[in-house]
Amino acid sequence: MRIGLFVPCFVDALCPRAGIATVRLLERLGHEVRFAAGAVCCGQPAFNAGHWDLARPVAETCIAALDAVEADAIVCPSGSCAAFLRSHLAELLPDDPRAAAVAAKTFELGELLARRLALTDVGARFPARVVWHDACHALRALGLHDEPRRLLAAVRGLELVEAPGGAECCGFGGVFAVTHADVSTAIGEERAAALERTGADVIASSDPTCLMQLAGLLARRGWRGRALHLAEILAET
Amino acid sequence: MKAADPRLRRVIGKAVASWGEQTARTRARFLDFAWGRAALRARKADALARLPGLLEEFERQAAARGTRVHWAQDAAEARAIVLEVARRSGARTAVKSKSMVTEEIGLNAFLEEHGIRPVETDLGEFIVQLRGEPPSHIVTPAMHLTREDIGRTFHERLGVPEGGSPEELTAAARAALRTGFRASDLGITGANFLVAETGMIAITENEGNARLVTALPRVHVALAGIEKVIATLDELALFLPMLAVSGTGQQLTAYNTLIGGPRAADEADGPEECHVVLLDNGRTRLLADADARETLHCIRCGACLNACPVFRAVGGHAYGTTYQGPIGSVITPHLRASEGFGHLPSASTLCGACNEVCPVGIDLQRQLLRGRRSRARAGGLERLLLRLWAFAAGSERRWRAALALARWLPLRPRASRRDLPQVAPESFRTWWRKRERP
Amino acid sequence: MTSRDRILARIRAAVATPSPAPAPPPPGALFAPIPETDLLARFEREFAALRGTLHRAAGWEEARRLVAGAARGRVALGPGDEVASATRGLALDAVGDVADADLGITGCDALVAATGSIVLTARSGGGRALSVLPPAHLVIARREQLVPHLADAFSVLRARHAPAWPTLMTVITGPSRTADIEKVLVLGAHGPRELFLILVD
Repeated sequence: MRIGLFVPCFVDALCPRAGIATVRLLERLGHEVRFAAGAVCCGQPAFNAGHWDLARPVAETCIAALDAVEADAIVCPSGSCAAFLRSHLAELLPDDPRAAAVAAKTFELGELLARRLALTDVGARFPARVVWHDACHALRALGLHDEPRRLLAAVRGLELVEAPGGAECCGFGGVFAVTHADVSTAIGEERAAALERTGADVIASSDPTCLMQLAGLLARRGWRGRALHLAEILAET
Repeated sequence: MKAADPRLRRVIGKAVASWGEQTARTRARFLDFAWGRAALRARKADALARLPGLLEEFERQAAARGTRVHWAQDAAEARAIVLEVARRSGARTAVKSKSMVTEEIGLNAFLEEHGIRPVETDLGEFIVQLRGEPPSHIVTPAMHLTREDIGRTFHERLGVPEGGSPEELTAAARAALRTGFRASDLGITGANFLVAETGMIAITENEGNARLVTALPRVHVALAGIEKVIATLDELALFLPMLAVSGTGQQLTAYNTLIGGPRAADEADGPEECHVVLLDNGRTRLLADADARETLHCIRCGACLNACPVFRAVGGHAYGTTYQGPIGSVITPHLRASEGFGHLPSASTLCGACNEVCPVGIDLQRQLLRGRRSRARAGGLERLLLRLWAFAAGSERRWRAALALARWLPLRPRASRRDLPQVAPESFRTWWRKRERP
Repeated sequence: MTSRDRILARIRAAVATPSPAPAPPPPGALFAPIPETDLLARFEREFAALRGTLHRAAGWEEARRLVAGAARGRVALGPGDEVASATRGLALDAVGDVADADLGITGCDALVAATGSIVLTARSGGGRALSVLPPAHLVIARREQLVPHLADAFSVLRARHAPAWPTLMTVITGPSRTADIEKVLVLGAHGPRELFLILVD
């Protein structure tokens, strides 16, 4: 299958390994990856902060590039960006027919694998104790709960553990992490502690922003584990 | 808004965890919560669409049974109405059951200024009243306090020995308030629902203090926002369990009481006078905004506060408002327009947990986004940063240049409690380009 | 223009702009239906979980024995045939003022199986204070008064009273309680600490 790839701004800049692993994984599975280089950012930071006028041109650039990619589906290694494209793009650009077209074929990575490609075992091997952190948008906007867990459970050598108490926000919240840094840190510290208590070596998530938030806090606690994107685990053989 | 100190956060965390467990257990046991939520959303939307007729029907039915219905445009009018009733009753004290509306209008301080002493009888409200604090949560007002905090207050203010257990402290409060119910000529309550069909108010509680406040004093005044009206008595069979499970994780609270007027001739006891004050105080502003109108569905269960990671991190007092948490953040900028609460919708990670727990189906996450939009200021640091961001993210070329610049600049921002991510030496784009053209 | 006029005018102006009406859900229910044969068992379970004390009586003679056993101190009696039948001939220390009572004894209008609730009014409950002021409350109920759900109890009240509703109707679900101090459950905050029910077949 031809799969378009949307690498959002912060993945490109701060966590490129999530994108790289996504490419390696999909190619191993026999698909052709077409990187939509012109899609820089979906516009979510400005949209969430209420500055829709600033978000619009950024979103337009993004969907122009995604729409131009000839692909059967578009994958994004970020649940919040995929959720944004599906839930809010139409509201932001109501007169743009490309918005609906792009939304219809854009998937977060776990979604693509589990729902669109109906895969559970992607042939990965990753011996480690892993705790999955549900990113809020992936969980609530995309309904992604069982799928990543099934994918990880099928990875050879991987021991999947759960944080007690269920899903909780990491506290990042986009611009919130800057405007309300103190509160963002307090929320994140609590989540980081809960994940650390599981004894996992690895924290995995669909969203690099959650991973960066949690990793940054855990580093201060002297945690020696790793915070990895779903793609990085599934790409390992 | 700042995070609360670790001790307070622990206290709040424990209270919320207990609520979470109870609520999940009860929700799973018998309730088809999703169905209930959809049903309540439809009922509330319908009630608001028919609000003028329903309020008039409520007034008609209530008046037919001897209730005097008053209408207050704002807090000042509401206070004046209550004061007038209090003065005519000759009351020197007023026993109160929990009412967020009376907090909203600042009734207690006002009554005290005019020589009438209000006595809170709900245990949590009684505690914060003794401490001279506002409630920190719309349902559990003293959730920010430990038993030691409360014990110290009871020791200082009531002479109770320190170190009491919750049982002992509760017994002390019961004893302290007992005579007050009988001694007071005036009872003041809120109302969880106004039933238009029968002209009754409905009060949901666990302690029994509202029942006593509406049984013993000679005069009863109930205050309620105009949005509290529902059409029929039978709808309570749906509202009451949804309120209970969301508020406290119970199927029903211990007492769900309908009051339909002053005592009837064939009844053994009850007040001789019954008043209901219908309060606007900015609610018509919310109503007029067709998109924000759904926030008036709120039945004040407090679930969104408990689910909110921001509320848990900062505590109720940090909001500085009568209504805290997600619902408080979306209604306060309207109810108290131009009073500087426009920043509240920004105090959220938009995690969406509030939507999941709301029993009446308010899309709180969407309301928070809307609230930000209408308050996005033309100037300010946030806009400047976002302008820079939008410029850089507007084209691939500019983006690559921005990354190159970020790598070159000696910017090494430091945060005190976490490591901040650094710009990667090689971006994904660069990796891809190298791959395509080795 | 009165405040009433102004408020109603503002409301009318506001709702002149409609919002999209959410579709009501397909027919369903909040609580799972309870088979007739399970009603009593369900009520007993719920009532026990609430820390209520239930005694079953095979008839009024046994009911009287149970009342004699449960009654303590000064007793305030509510009206109605059930209370009369259950206390006939008993040597109770009856008081006239509810405030002096250690125990209030009342009838009720209905029992709700799904939630373990007791529904009464100012009429069946002997006023507003009798079932809430004394530190203990004993309810005499008949097996036929047990209904499945809260909605059914409201139907009973409607059939019995409308349009001349009592001025107080209450749904009692367990003894008085609070968890305002560290979420620790404490019974008997302001209302009765003990709730007894004698259910007569």
